[in-house]
Amino acid sequence: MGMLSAVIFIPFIALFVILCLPQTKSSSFRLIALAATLLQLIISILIFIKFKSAPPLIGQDISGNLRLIEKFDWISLDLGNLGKLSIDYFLGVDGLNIFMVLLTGLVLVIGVVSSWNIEKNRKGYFSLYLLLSGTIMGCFIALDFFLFFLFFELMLLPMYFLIGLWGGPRREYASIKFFLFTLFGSLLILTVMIGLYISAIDPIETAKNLGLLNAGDAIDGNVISKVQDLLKYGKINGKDMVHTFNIMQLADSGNYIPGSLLSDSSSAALWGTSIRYIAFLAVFIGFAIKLPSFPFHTWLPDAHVEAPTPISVVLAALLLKVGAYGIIRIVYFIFPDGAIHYAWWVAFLGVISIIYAAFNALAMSDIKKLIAYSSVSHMGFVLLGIASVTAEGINGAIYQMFSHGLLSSMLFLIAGVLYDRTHDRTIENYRGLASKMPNYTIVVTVAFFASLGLPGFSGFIAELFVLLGAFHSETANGLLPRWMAMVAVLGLLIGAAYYLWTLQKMFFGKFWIRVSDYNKNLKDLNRQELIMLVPLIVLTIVFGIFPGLLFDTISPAVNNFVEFILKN
Amino acid sequence: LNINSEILSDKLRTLLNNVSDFAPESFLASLFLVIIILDLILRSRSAKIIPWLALSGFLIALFLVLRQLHGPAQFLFMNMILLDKIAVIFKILFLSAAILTVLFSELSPSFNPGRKGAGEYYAILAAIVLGLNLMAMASNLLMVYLAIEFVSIGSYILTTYNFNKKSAEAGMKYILFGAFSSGIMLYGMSLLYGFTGSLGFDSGVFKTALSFVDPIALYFCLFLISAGILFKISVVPFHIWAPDIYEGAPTPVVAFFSIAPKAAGFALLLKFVSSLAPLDYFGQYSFFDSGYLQNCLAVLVLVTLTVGNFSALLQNNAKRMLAYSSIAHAGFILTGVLAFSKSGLTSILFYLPVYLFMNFGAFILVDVLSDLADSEDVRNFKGLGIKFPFIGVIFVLIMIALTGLPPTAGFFAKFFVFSAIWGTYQATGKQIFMIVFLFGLLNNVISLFYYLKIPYYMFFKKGEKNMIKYPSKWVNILVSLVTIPLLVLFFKPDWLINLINR
Repeated sequence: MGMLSAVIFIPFIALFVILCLPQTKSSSFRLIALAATLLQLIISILIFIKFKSAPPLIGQDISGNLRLIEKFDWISLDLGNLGKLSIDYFLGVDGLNIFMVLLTGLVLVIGVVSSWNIEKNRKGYFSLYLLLSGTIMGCFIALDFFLFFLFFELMLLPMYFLIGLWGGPRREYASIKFFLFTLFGSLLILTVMIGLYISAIDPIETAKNLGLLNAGDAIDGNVISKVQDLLKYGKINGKDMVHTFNIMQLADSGNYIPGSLLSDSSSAALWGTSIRYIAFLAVFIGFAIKLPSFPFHTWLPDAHVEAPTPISVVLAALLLKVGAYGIIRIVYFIFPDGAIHYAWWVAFLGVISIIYAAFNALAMSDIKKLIAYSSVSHMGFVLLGIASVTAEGINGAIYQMFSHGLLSSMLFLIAGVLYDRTHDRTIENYRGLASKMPNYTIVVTVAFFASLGLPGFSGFIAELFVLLGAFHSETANGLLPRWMAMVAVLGLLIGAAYYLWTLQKMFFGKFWIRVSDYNKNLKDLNRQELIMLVPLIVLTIVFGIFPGLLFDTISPAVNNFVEFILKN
Repeated sequence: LNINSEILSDKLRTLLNNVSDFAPESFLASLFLVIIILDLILRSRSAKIIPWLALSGFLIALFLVLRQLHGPAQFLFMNMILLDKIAVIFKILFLSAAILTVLFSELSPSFNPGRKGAGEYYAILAAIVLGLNLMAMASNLLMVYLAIEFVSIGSYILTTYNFNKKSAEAGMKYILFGAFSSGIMLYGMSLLYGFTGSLGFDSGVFKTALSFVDPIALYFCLFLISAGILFKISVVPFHIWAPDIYEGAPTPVVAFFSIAPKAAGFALLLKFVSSLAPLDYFGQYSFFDSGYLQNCLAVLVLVTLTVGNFSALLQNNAKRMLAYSSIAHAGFILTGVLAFSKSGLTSILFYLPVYLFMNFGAFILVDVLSDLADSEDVRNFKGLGIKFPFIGVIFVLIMIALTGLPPTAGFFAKFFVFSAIWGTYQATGKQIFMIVFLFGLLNNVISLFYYLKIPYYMFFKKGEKNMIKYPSKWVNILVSLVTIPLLVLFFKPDWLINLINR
């Protein structure tokens, strides 16, 4: 078993161990979960180190940046006249997902630490948490669309139960809303997935089927182009085609059967729009729900408010990134033509999300809801960066994904700290907390400033690059007008407003609380909370000062990606 | 006279030769007799011995059928029945259903077949399976009718086996609806016989004669005949009997009804579609304007999916809900028929076994839960999931399978059906297939609401603390047995598909 498989399956093994233990050993469950996630973190760091030293593998993907590939045949079916269906177990990392793997490793450990004091049905809680851990990791490194979809769907169930059973008072409503929104999105993705696999073939497997390539032979470009030529002139019999879910093969327009539904030459159209554009929109909406982008974001504030703190952290730091990553890896790779055609609209949704969610945050009185809306606003930057299809923009988007992972974990932990003590998150009910909880105030101040984009923190670099990309787009590729970047800057301003206001209202001034009972509970941060918060603060500062740490690793892949999209 | 006797002896010889290929059915017939006779001899002790006898009998029959799996396709008994690969797969399905029914009947907390003679109960079950086998193999209209009646009469009796008012009412309704629909079907068949002078619908004479018949008259015949078949697979608007029968009949019997006769109905439908209609199944000459038939089928699919799902949404009785769910599933399987392609056929043959396991799982668990809660109302299942996590988790898995989500084989079942219909859309470019495709997906979302309703009550609502009853260990083992294939077939669907395709 390679490292990439290990990082997915370790939580599943731990889950199995927990299921075998009797309910009475309740204190061991969190230890097992901690051990499993720590192991995941260590392996993801090892993956990172190995990634830096390994040469990229040529011939496996369109951008030539994949490394540490693990690939096996998983399911291969003969579908008669439709040809063969092949599903691979295909994992790999490149510049686009390597930092997501690191982030996942880190946040999952923090999630377990934050769950340390969960009392209610620990066995169930940690089993579900471990199931979630494995599937999130799987989403980030699966390179077969089917495998990805499997993890993507599987992520839903533990989340549904974690919110629905361990959540706040309106948890049932929130968990069902979350479930239905995401499920609707995944059905759109599923539809397109079926269309794609019927339309495209895997040239390597087809070559093997046609006898052009022997099982043990090395793969070379000649065979692939030969098969693609045969395909182009209709020389391959339908029965000999091997249909595939491999994202890297789906990205190559040469692999589509001429005239098939989702091929470039497809004449099919729905309501006057080419079917490929429709398919682009369908998968885009599927992932935009997860992201979430305006107008599909309404599930997020509910889910966040009701979810327990660790689950909020995982939701904001990782699940939203799955949506963003899906847009890059799947939507843009497979439908570069749609990406160009709808660039303006994608960016527009991003800008609306930035502004609209920021205004919403301004109006919130529940601090957790405020943070939830600020998440939507920050994810708008990711969308804007991706839509610009410039090297700066996409580098910035990935930076924002990583940075927001750190920041949102911090922010939700902060909200959780207050909630643990008083079970009240209303901003107006507190004033002058600084005198009572100095350390807490320092952490909050750092987190708020980092989140509003102060130079020196990771959020600044990310948002700066996104804005640069969006601004540059008009001259670089003519996709986005300049005003979008300008309007998006407004989002930063509103962001500063709600963070500073909250800081001022809650922490500064004379100490006052609405309910005097809170007084005895308002203690400063304890050790466990510091263990979670301090590394996050250190990391945001490190990545705020040395952006090269991330950019140097990802930019070759990003440059190839941009080139690939613009080529179409 | 001499010539006549020669013909006669010739026929006798073929009949005798064919008997060996008819072994499973002959065995089932003798099982039926043995059970009845033993029941008379053993009397009070029969409740202990007969279930084992029935179980081993069905296992042996299954073994006999499995031996036919790799045999050649052949007509038996002077073209009365056709023993081919598809029929064998269906027979395996029926026998598996029968085995699960025996286990379920014995373990069910709500139902005791021994109360009024276990002998009769299992004897009738054997007879029904025999009828189902004949349905799957029939290639002659007369045979079709006999087989259907064989199955129906047995089913009427089993429906009443709860021996209460509801059960009796259900049985009565079943008889009335059933008799009416087979009457209509018989009328259609007699018309066809009149048109063609032949009863063997696989024969060349039949097909040639059909091409001279006025299409309107032919459509009328087809409509009458399909009424009988669609009644068996409970396609809307021939479904009204199903919910009442499901609610009134004993749960193990319902589980059996929800899969075996339905599958047999599909076997017949496939036969009719592939011999009367345009055929891509075998690429033959067609008598029908394929578009017309497809449009009719498509409308049936749309209506069945919608009515099944939306009615299920409104139910609070778990068994009624499953009744409507099985109507919706009939719609999904019918989508595979509608695809009119080899992959459509494969998708059906994959769907049905998966459906067998998930439906049995669902009925077993509903039976157990309603016993624990003393009510079939899903709202009374509250808190049971927390109290019995094992049953709860399995139940969630089965409901997910019924919805068609990963990681269960239910996902692949739907996936293949949708792939088949998408493939047909791509091949023909007809809008109707796209509509069916999208509609099916949409219905999947709707079905989620009611499938997850039971787990919702089981996990999210607090139940009363004092629970006296516990589910038996054997029931847990039985549900695990039906759940394992659901998981295995998700990770390795090739195993089943290759078996079907080979």
